Order: sequence, then structure tokens, then C-alpha cells
Amino acid sequence: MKKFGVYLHVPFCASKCAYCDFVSGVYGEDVKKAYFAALSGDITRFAERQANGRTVTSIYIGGGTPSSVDAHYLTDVLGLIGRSFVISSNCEITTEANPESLTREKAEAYARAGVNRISIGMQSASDEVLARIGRAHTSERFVRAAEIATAAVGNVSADVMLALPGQTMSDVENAVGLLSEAGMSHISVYSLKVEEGTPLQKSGYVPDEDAAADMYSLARSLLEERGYKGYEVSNFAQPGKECLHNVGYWDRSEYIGFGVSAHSFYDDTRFAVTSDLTAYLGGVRVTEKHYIPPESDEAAEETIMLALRTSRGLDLSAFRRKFGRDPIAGKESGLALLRREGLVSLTDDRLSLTPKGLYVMNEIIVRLAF
Amino acid sequence: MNDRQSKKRNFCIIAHIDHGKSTLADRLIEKTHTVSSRDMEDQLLDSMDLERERGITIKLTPIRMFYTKDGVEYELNLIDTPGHVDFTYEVSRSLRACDGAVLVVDAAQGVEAQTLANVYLAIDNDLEILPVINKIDLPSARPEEVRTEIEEVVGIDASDAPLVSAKEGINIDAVLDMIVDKVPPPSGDPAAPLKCLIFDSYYDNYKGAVCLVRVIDGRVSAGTKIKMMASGRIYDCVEVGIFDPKPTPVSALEAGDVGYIAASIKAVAETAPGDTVTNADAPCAEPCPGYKEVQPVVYSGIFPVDGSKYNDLKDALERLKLSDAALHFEPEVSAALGFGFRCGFLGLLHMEIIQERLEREYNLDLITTAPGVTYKVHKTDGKTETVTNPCNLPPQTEIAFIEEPMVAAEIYTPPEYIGSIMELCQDKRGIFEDMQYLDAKRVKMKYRMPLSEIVYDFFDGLKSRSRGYASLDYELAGYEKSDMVKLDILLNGEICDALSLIIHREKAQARGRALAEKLKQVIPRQLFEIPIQAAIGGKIIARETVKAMRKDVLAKCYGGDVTRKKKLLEKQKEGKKRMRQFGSVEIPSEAFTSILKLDNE
Repeated sequence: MKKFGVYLHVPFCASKCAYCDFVSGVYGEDVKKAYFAALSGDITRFAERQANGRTVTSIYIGGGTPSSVDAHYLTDVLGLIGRSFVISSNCEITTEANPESLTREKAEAYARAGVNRISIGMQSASDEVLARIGRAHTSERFVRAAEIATAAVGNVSADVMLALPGQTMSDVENAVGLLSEAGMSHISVYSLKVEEGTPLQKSGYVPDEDAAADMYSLARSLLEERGYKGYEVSNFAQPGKECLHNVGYWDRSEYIGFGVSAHSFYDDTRFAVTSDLTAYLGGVRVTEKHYIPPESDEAAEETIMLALRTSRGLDLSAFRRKFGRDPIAGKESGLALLRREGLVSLTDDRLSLTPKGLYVMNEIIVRLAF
Repeated sequence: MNDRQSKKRNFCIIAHIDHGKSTLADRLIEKTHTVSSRDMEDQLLDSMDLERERGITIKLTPIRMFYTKDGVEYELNLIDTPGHVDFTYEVSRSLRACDGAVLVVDAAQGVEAQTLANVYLAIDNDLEILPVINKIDLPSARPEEVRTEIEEVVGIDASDAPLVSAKEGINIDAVLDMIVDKVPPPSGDPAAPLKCLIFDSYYDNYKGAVCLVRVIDGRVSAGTKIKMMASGRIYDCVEVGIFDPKPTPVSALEAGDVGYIAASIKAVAETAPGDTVTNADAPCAEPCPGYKEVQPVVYSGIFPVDGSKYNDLKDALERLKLSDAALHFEPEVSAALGFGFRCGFLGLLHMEIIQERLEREYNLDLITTAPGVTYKVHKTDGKTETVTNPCNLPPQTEIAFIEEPMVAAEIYTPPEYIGSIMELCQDKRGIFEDMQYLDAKRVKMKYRMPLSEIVYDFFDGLKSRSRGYASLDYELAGYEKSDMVKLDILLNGEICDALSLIIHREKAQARGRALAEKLKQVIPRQLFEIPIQAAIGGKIIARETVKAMRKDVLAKCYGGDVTRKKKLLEKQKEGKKRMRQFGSVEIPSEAFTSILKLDNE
């Protein structure tokens, strides 16, 4: 039975953070209404024409801030998905939430609609740092949101960001401590990337490379001490609590994204919906579409690039079977150098990046895959 | 002298950069209706883009004009001269083709150093100097003061120098009248054996290398068997012509004429300026005096940024060579930069021009190594080697001593900058020889300096220390024994040949340190730590370290946007093409150029 994941994009926020360049904004109720109506139409059309009996094994509602909109928008869409597709019995259904907008009522409504996982953007345990990046919550508010989410769905994840302006090593330590005490089953650790055109970029802030690397390795060791395994460069989970939806991205499984700026990989084709909300509401949908033949070099490159993000790494024999070539042929001397420097490891016919290598993965991937 | 000659005037215009030479030339052309105003492009003489942009003349273009004075029609041939010290030899050749020189002096700025050098060159070539005071329309014009200045500084009579404004077209007739009255008509005997001076040449896709000549004696026409006296080569003349201003064939050129000779000559290297063209069947007794073969003075390595463009670079250099005989090049292989060329130039400007033409006209991305000079290396075995490339310097143990080329430098500056310029010259190992107040506002300083110091960042230093007022003129002045050493840069323990320098021992230590520091800034962090060392004769004198990269952009793979991630990696990969792989070290192309100018930071 073929399976796939579903992504829903909610492009609404209560306020815009200083570092954010995702497609989201502050809009009125009429826009939200129109948006979810359009999204529902897309789901229905897709289910009728292209689902072909495939089973949905994960649903992920991201944004923006899904918890900033009235709960019925989300629960209605989830209901529609339940009626439109075959849903696996153990389907992982995640929604993102912000501490300031996740109320008990909302969390319970989500749970009733089938949500069994909530991912909360904490970012930092320091109120000062939070204020500096334009987040509306405090760490106290986060703790309350985490309790609400745990009570409602049990399985809760939180995000931590690194290299934020004014952040110190002890902030990172505090954040990890606070999250593990709050009983998070899953923790994502992202380092801040200053995106073009954001207020943070205009402020002239440039994260320090060494500080970011120090914070990452600190966070990593603290998390592993507390029983969270780094199963992907940015993601740590208690055993069995890995995010299935995200794992699908790295395995090159199929997923379909609904809503503005949503990305899909379906029938060997990557496509994306317009990033322009007004255009979307006016009927514009897919603006980028790219077919990748399953045995092509491009598919092989993607396979390497995505697999090396994970702790399992790249299964060399599976790769050879699929693409009829050895992924490391011709790269022996480069690889030897990388191994000597302790950046990659090659064991049991698997190529993976060491913790040190993970943090410079772009450079390594460029050397190995492109 | 026949009647034909008596109505002919061959002249040039000498002026400091931006004193209005081209504008005046344009007005003369306009006034004599040589070009219809519709075809009149601004500054017609400067034909290369580069010349137009920089306001300088590199290639020479003669133009024939007709002007009637007192009912007699005269033929005026304007021979343009390049305006830069690198091309002094070319200037001297083109001056030899003239009988008089119009000296344009800016009514506000007065006489400038660069002008003087050319004026003296003109006087040396027995030219009649005709001063003209230009830009009298400027509010800051002080024509009478400038008139006195010309008399005092240049030492010629300027009492009847016309006051003109080329820009506004004021008093242009006076200039034309003066040319007719004062420039001597060409002497020479049309019946004597052919004797033509080549003062320039250019490459034409159909005609091959075309010689620009002044006929001294005799007559030449299509069918004449001509001989280059210096090279001994013989050609059949295919076409002769004049510049009207476009090349226009005529039946013959005679004594006193300025024009061109086309003889299916393959490359301009065969039409050396200063050489004499004669009739192979009835040669003249003596060639025109003063011919010398032009030797490169400055050398640098030129490599394509993208190694696969080597053949494109080769083609481009070969094509430039067709029209620029002064350009020398030979293949060079560098461990760091791959395949490229060691190129020789007349001077720094010439080097810049070639580099720019390669980049603009041939669309090449280049890496240029530090400019160097020619050293004479006397070895312990008694042999002498000429070294232009630091990599070819013999091991220290085999060297008895090294001689380096010197220049006699003349610096012209307002007095307030004397102190800081002296400091600069001292720092550049200059030996003070003389200082002379030309007037209250101008001083001429004479220094004997190593050429290698002038080649390395001297102009910029001079300009910045004098707020752009000082100017420099120099000529080669022999070789001198000097304590030169080879400075190497080691990356990850290996000598990077493209960064090696020959340098005076006293400066090696400081330069080595500065180079290592600069490289540390320009070489990005990589997966591995990279030691950068500077070494003199194998002894390490400085060390810096580029720390290993610890993080590169780690974007969240958000909402399954794999495409964005892929694009990022492809961009990163693309960036690597501009990098040079040296062992396991990647060096950005910019690193090689960023170290060429260290002193002014």
C-alpha cells in the first residue's frame, strides 16, 4: 500500500518575528475564512483526482502560527481530510503552536479532531532574548503551554534556536533543562539564519560562527545526556518519538502540501504553490514544478543530501541497488580526508556525518554529492 | 622643396590629461569641415572604448584637414600622440613624424609635469612649439599668469599664444592660422630613395598590419617592393592612403606626406614603430635615427579564473598581439593557478590596459599575479641568468649576487606635499638626487629608485599622499646590485608558487607578515585548519592560521522545501568554480589580487 504525508500551511500570525521570512502575516478574519475555504477546495479536488487510494500516514500543520487562528479552522480541515483520504490507524498528526496562543480549549479541540502531537516554538528560555527577536511570549508562558499541550495530546515537541542576539551558553543550558523537565518527547534545535530583508538582517546582526557551533555542541551533549537521540541534524527525540512526517522528507517519501507556499513531492515531481497570498486567494496555485526521474543523477544527489542529514546516514548498498552506481566512487581521496578529520564515518556500508561533520554538512555534501 | 610640400603642415598636439587636447582636436576638425557635423562624434580621435572612458589616448590616429589662409589651401596633418609615460617611446616616434607641436595649456591649471616631459621630448626632436592657452571661458582662468608660466617653466616665447576655448569654440581660427604660419613645411626630396618613418601601426582584419608612416624622402605607391630596414623583411606594397579621417587609398605618398602603407603584413610585430620603410630595389643609405626594439619592463602572470578557459585566453592574447607589438607573453604553469601566461608589458598602465581589454573585449575572468621586473642573477658558477618570474630564481646557494633595474624618477608636486612624498620615496628605497622649485607652486624632485618599488603600488601611494596633485615620470636607468631575496608563502605547508615574490631583504619580513595576515582575511574558513606561513629562503618568518570552519548555513528543511536547499548547495558548488584548489586548500581568485595592494591599507 502506497503512503504519503500531508502538509497544511497556515500563513497567519498574531505578530511577525524579527528573523522570520516564512510566508505568514497578520490578517483579518475575512481573509482567514477565504483562505481555509480555498485550502479545503484544494484538498477535495486532490482527493478526487490524484489520491488514488494512497494512505495518509502523517499530517503536519505548520505556519505561520496555526494556533493563532480559531481552532475550528484547523479541526474543520482535519475533518475534511479524514473524509477525503484513507488515513492510517497510527497516523501522526502534528500541529505547530506558539506559547502565547495555545489555550486549553484550543488544545482540547485539536485533540478531539485527531491531533496527537503538538510542536511548540519556544526558541529561548530567556525572556530578554525572546523580546529581542520579537517573540510575544515569556518562558513562563511556554511552561504553561507545554502543560496544556501535554495534557491534551501527550506527545509534545519544542523548538530551540541558537545564535540569537544576546544569547549565552547558559541560556542554551537553561533551555535544554527547562524542556526536558517539561517532559518534551522531542526537541528541535535550529541555529538562526539571518534571512535577507528581515528586520533582524536590517539591524545588522551577524551570528558568530564559533559561538553557534559551541552552542550546538553544548545543546547536543546536554540532550544526549538526557536521553534524547539526535536522529537528524536539528532533531532530537526520546526513543520512538521521532517525527514521522519529517523523516518522510529525508527518506524522499511522498508528501503533498496544501496552502500558500506549500511544497510537495508526489509522483516523482517536486512542486510548490505560489508564495503570494493574494495570488493564492485569486486562484493561483502551483508555480514551480519539476519532474525528477527516479533513477536520475538529480534523484541520487537528493538522496545523498537528505540522507546525510540523518544519524542513520546513507545506506550505500540500497543506493547502489537503486542508482546502479557507488555514491563514493571517484571521491575516495576526498572521503579519506573527511574521515581523517573526523567529519564523516563509514561503517556497516553506511556513510554518515559525525556530530562535528553535521554542523558543516553543506560543505561536505557539496564535496560528496554535487 | 616643391609647391606641394610648401602647402603641407605636419603637427601634433601636446597637452596634460584633461587640458583639452581631444576637444581642441575636435574643433580643428570641425572648423576645417573634415568631418560633417553629423558624423562628428565627441572626441573623434580617441577610438577605443577604454580611451574614451579614461580620457587618454593609447593608439595613434592621424587626420588630414584642409584649411585656407589668404586664399591658399593648406593640408594640415594632425598626428595624435599617446598621453602616458608608459608610451614615451611611441610618443617620441610620433613626434619625429611632425614638424611642429601645438602645446595646449589649461588657463586655470597652468603647466603640468606630464606636459613638460613631452614638451622636452618635442624640443629634443627639433619641433617648433606653438603654445595655446585653453579654457579661457573658465571663471578661474588666469591666462596672463599662465602665459608667463609657460615662458618661465617651458622656456619658450608665449607672447602671441592664442587664448582659446576649445569647448566654446572661441578663437579656433587663430590656432589654425598659427599652424600655417609657424609649423615649418616638411623638407625632404621626393626624387630621393624612399625613406619612411613608421610611427605606429594597427591591425586591420582585411589588410593585415598597416603601417602609419611619415614619408621623409622619395615616393611609395601600390606595387612598390618595400623593405623594413630593422628587420630586413620585404613586402609588396598593396595600398597606400591617407586619413580623411577614415583610411582612404591614394595613388602615392611622397616626401612630406603622412599616411599609411598596407602590404599584407601578418602582425604588427613586423611593423615596429621607429623602423624605416625603404624601397627594396633602391634603398636609402641610412635609416631614420633612434630606432630601438621595445622591451617589456613589467611582468605578471595572467591566468583564467576558470581553468577550462585557457585556450580562450591564449586566443585573446594572440589576437591582442596582432595589434599590440609591445605585448609579450609565454605559457606558464603554476601549481596553484594552473595553465596561464607570463606576460611582459611596457609599464603599469599598459598592463592594466591589456588586462582590461582581455576582460572586456574577450569576456575573460582573470587572476593576475603581482607585477615584477627583470632581475639579473649572477651565479656562483660565473653564469648570469635573467629572471622575470620569482619561481625561476635559482636556489640561494647558487646565487653570487642579484642586480635589479633602476629608474630615474621625476616627481612633480606642489610644495606642501614634499615631506610626505619624500617619506614615500624613502620607504620605496629611493635615493634623493635633486629638488628644484619650478615656481612658487611646483617642485620637481629627482630620485633614483628601484623599478620594482614603482611597480608595487607606488602610484597609488603618490596620489594619496598628494591628494592627486603629484605626478610621476620615469625612465629606466640601468641595473644595480641589490640584496634581493625570495619570499614564499606556504599554504598548509606547501609553497604556493603564484604568491612568491622577489623582494629586498629589508622589506621581506614586513611584507611576509602583511601577506600572511591579509591571506588569513581573504581565505575563507574550510573544513580543515590551514596554516599560512611566510618564508625567506626556507626560513619561516610569519605564521597565521585559518581556523577550521565549524558551521555552514544550516537551513531548516522547512515544510519539505527541498528545492531551496538544493539551490543553496548548487550556489555553493558554483562558488567553488571561482576557487583555486591548491592541495587540499581552496583559494578564492580574489585572494591573489587582494594582496597586490597591501601598503595603502
